[in-house]
Amino acid sequence: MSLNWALSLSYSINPDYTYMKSELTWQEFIITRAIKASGYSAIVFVALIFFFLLREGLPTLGEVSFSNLVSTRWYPIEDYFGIVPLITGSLIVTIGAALVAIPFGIGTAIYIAEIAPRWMREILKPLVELLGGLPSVVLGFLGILVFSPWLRVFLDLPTGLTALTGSLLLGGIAVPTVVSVAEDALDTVPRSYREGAWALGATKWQTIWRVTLPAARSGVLTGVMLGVGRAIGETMAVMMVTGNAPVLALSLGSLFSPVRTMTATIAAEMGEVASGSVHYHTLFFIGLVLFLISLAVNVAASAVVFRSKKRAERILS
Amino acid sequence: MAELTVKNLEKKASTISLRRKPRWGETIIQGLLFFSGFFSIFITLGIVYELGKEALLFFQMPGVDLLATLTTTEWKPHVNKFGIWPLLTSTLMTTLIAMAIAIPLGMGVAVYLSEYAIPKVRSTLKPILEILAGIPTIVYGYFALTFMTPLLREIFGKDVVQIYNTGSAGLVMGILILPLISSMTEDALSAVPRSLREAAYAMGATKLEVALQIVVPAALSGIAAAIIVGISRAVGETMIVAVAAGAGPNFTFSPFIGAETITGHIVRISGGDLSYDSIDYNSIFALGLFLFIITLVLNIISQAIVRRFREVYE
Repeated sequence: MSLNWALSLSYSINPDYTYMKSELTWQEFIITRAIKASGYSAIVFVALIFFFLLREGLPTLGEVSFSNLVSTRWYPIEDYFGIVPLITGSLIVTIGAALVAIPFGIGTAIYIAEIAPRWMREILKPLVELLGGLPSVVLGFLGILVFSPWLRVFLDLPTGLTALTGSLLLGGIAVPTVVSVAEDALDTVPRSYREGAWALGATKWQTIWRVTLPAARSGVLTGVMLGVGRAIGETMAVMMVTGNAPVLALSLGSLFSPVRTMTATIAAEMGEVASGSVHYHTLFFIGLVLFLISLAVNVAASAVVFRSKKRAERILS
Repeated sequence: MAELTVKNLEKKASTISLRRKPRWGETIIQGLLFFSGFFSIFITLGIVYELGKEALLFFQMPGVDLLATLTTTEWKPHVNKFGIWPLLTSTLMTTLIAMAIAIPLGMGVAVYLSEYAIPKVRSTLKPILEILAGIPTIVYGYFALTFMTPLLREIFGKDVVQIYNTGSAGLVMGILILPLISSMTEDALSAVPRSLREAAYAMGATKLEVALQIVVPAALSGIAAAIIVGISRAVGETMIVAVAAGAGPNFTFSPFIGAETITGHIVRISGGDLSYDSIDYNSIFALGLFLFIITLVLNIISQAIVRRFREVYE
């Protein structure tokens, strides 16, 4: 196909070479600029949202004393704006979700890409993508009605709406994204890498663990970042199943009690605050903190990717 | 692979047996991988079963009729009118607007990152893009309501644009979906073998011609898959539309008027006090099933496209 195109290009070259060339470059100039501009548009959007959060959230620092903000009590009606319990709530749910999504997601991706026979692959891949397309509100609703009562009976808890329920559900929501991207990455590793390993006598698992996975590392980590990112940003499902009690979650035991995440706090309370009030600004301040946390996670992860990618390339090239 | 060194081999040579050794560790690992692969099948089937069971209850209730649901244009649960079209058109509107932002920009970003950007720029831009995917959807929702909507009202006039409208929700949803599309597209573009590019360069093609006429067509199946995933995410997106698109089903095609989407309706209904087995409660499952079917159809289409345009190299 590409060769055909290239041939037709050479036929269509105009004898009036200078005229042709200048027109081509003029058009190219514009399209190239447009592509470049859209490449940088991501920065514009991130900056726009950051600016918006700063505008709405920063006044909090002037209105609420710092010691109040870092206290452990969130009770806005009586002016207690301690965001620490919300941060710990978000952390415990997100870390739990990542612990579910990363092994499960990468495991499923490896199974689909490396181990499953072809017919199984044809069934599994669309099914996982279907799961990824399911609206989180539907999953959250099923989480309340089916999953949390089951978990309550199974673990013998006073309530099924706990941090654990939220972690498992969010992990489930993140898995399809991780699988889909990671499987694509594993799939693009050239067959010759695997054949080389087999020729050296490596078993299937040794090949996967020491050759294929390191070679696909950057793509696998992109999948993990997108999946965990979706888990961090997920609002509705979390609000429905975590119970929403703003309690400080420090020990492992709080996994089995209700917590309240930052996103759920914003979603639950934003509808009822007066625009421009202290409470309103504090909710946006929470959004700002969340933004900075996900920024830090992303920068750290991409630093890891870049180091390990260089190492993998050194080994495999 | 430690046991593969020459020294070890020599040591083992006398006792070596050519029969395949059972490796219990590997068997267990493969079993676990198999299990995690199958787990997703069970979850999907479970969800379908649960949705189908409850949705069936809805259609068995008095006053509900599948045909009327699919053909009428009024959704008023209090007077037993369950026409799905007003919810469907607003879902369609927000999705269309979102894709009008996300597809061109996402393609641009992907082409830039994969074909033009030097590694240093790439290593800065990619994490920034992924941040967009990690911003809480509720923040996007209020971004749409308190930033995008005033902007639209400024541009098109306050009489034209309502405070709640599908336009601003769709635009902001486009920003949310942008990283998903661009990152999947970029993966597809960088999987195109270098030899294709080099052949085109050798024929005298410019960088832009190589990018748009060689690499993009060669990666078409991956790009189509990315777009379909983006669409199904847009259809299922909840928080942005619940905050910014307005409450109350409204049969309209104007992007400047408030209208409730399917997901927005589920949020509003489920947020209130629902009695078990009421008609509202059961309608949520029917709507959930409907969303599931939309996603399913989109997936089938994407599979067909991928199969049709798939190009195999090597």
